[in-house]
Amino acid sequence: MAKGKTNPEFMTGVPELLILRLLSEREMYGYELVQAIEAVTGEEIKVGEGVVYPILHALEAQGCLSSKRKPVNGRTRVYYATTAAGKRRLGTLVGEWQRITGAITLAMKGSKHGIA
Amino acid sequence: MASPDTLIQFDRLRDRLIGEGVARRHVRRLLGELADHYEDAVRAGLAKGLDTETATAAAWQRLGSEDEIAASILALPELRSLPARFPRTISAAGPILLWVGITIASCFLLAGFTHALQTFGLVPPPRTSIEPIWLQNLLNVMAFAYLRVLPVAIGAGIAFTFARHLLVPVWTISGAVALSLLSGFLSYSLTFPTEVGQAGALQIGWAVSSVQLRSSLMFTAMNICSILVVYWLARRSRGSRHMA
Repeated sequence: MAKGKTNPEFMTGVPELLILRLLSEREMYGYELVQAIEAVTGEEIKVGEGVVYPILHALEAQGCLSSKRKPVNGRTRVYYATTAAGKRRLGTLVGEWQRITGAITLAMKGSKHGIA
Repeated sequence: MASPDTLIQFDRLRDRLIGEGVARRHVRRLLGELADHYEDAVRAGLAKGLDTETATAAAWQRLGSEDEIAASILALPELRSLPARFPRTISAAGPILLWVGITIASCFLLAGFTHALQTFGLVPPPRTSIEPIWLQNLLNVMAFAYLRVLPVAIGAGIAFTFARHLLVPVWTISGAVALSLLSGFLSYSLTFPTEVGQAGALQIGWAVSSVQLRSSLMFTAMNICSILVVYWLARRSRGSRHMA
């Protein structure tokens, strides 16, 4: 049984990070990308699938992604891929993510300030 | 594969997004991609053995609610149209800047065009005044168009755009009034050279004079009415499409 949507409070910036990460490996169209997000996160992260497209368009408008139409099985798909600017942005986001998760992990373990 | 209900939902989403100022090119592409995604999700459901009704419902659930999708799109300023992002600039200053820009650019183009005609010998050297006569007529028509036709066309174009985006009418009306006042009180005179080697002149001036007050006010009122009629018709046609 598929899990429900991930707690939105924790999701700010996560879809963008995952999208850039996955598209930096190979170009994909929207549906394929959503399947890939579920697969690489072990279905732990689920987003409203329709929400992925505005993020793709915004990243494209910012120059982080490029898109091209390709005919596949009689239908035209819009494939997205990261640009050089997108790869730089991914590097920045990964750095920020690691810093924050490192800090949170540290805090959860209990610090020298002694949380009981 | 899309059912009538699905088409209605996508239509409603499209009208909502355009009404909120999302650029049409983004709306068109987003809805196309969402429709493709929906179709893929339904196919996947059917392939898992679900019946059509369940597969359709599951596909909608995966896609997210209309409110969720609309909110995610509206949260991104990059996807908004220029009139939605800068309504005051586009509707108030835009028409005037566009009009002045087009007028200046076309004066340069015309000068280049006549110079090219003379350089390549397509126009015989003038004997007593600027020739040929069709060039004089063309200049007169163009000067009339700059002052009386172009402002209304620009104002109407911007009013049409704003009506399609359902943007606040106050800015459209302000822009129409400003442009109409400016163009209504403008006067022009064309002086053709009477001797060989003499330069002609195009003079454009803006003045409130008691002599021409009546005609200037009439032109202003005509311009405002023309622009607002286009705005009203565009709003009405959008409204009736909504009702259909």
